Amino acid sequence: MQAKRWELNLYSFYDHTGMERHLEKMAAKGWLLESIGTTLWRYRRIEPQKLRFSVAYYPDATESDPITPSEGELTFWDYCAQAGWVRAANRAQLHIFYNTDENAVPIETEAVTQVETLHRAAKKNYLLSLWLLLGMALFYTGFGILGNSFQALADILALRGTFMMCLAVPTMFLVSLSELIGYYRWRRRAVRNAHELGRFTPTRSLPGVQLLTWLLLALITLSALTDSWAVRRTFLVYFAAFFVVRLTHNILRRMNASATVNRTVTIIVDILVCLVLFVVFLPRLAQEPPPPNAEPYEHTYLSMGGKKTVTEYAYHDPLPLYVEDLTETDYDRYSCKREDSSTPLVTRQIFSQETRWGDWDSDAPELRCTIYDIRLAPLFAPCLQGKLNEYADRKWSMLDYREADAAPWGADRAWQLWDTEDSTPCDSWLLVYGRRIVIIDLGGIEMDGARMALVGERLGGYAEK
Amino acid sequence: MAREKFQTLTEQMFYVLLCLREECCGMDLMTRIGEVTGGRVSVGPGTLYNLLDQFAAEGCIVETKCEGRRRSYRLTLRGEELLRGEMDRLTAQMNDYQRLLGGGETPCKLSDGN
Repeated sequence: MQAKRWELNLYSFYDHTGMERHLEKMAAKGWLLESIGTTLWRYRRIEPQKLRFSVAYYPDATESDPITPSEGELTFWDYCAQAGWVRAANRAQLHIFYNTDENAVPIETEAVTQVETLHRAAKKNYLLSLWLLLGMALFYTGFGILGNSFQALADILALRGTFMMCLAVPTMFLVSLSELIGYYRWRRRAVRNAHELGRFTPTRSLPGVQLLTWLLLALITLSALTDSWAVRRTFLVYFAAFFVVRLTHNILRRMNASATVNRTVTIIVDILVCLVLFVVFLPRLAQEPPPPNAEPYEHTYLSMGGKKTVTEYAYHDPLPLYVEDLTETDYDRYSCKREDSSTPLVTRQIFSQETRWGDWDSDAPELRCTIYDIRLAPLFAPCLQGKLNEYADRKWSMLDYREADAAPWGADRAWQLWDTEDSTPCDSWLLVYGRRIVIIDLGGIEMDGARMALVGERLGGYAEK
Repeated sequence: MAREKFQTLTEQMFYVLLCLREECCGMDLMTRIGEVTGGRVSVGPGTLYNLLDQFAAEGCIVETKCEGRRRSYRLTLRGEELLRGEMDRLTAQMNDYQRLLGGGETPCKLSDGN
């Protein structure tokens, strides 16, 4: 028979009513809480029985306290034991007791003191972390708006990493805001009830919001672990860094180091780990190994210090459209590269047919193309607008999209990129086919009606493979 | 701090202070309050622990003895003033009741003799 059981804690820190009710139900089913972890609660098997639970708050405790309970905590437990309350488990400010006597004097008998004690306890970790989370969500949102992320909306939504960030930021908002609103609303009612009526105010939490957070975290982890090797490695390095910091914190707690020593050492380790991570590991991780289909070749060039030779890579990926489909060329050393990325909202294909490094004199025509398929209709307009505004900042850009005739391309709408300084058209077009955006750059290829039609035929209806 | 730094006392605050007119161990206070009030008022261990902590911080009580984890406390002058102030408030309430509903007599005197 199973002797232990773990459960994800979905209760808010202040929701003592919810926790007490749940623990009483668990005891009636034969499970008694024995440990509170960061995220999981551990139960042990007992005879099913009617137990009364009480969640008490001990504001003087912190997450960094030594594992051996303080004199104050022991005294608090002695007081509770005198009234028949047995400690089931505790973590930082949260202390959970049970009693076999249904008529035992409750741990908290006065509402005014209970509300104030809970508030002092909540200020230590719970509220602080929620305000920080809200601050981070605001920072990322502000960063996104100020950083003109809307221009790159289609790209952000097409890449798993940035797409996950798009999910994480609203979730951070939702969780922190709903928890803060829930707590302060409860506190306002509880203070009024306690002072005016001498009554306790029951609490309640939003388990759905907590569950959403855990689901998102699981999704981000799963997404990172099934992404490219570079993403997987970066994620694992971050995870290892987090693990090192937590391990330091826990070892110091077990060594009974004071909370101040624990916090100081943990912060120092945190800084060191960040330095190692950002200075040593991440720059190395950024150098992705060449994919198996890459053909290495040496490229020599002249620099200040003389001749330098570097290894570059040529690719031979199948492309939906080749330069040779549109024009004749003698050049036969093309690198054909294609990169696909996809999320539930946007699929992006980037492909190019380019000359190799060093073959500058060949003057061979080249082709670069990005195709976005926007799966969610309401996102299409902002994604398109973002792309059209890509060159809108006159401080940096002399280019601009101007609407062109879409008919030769077989497209719904078409724009051509223009150099605004000397008012000349460039060889770049933005084409729209339904909810597909095609941005194509045809350097050195003279386009006529037949070629435009061919591009439309190949890319406008090009099915995702 | 509870009740705007003890401007008024709840019943449980009142009895905690009252029972500390004589030195008493914190843990024994729960029993003593029950005896003094004939079981009418019970103070839970969490409430008692936090009240003792707050009263000590405000200088209303003082720790007199520490035997292991058994700490004893006694009321200070500030605590006595607080208790007297609360008694006056309750007396004034009682007198108002007596004057308006109980036959016009003033049955109790306040601590300053009025």
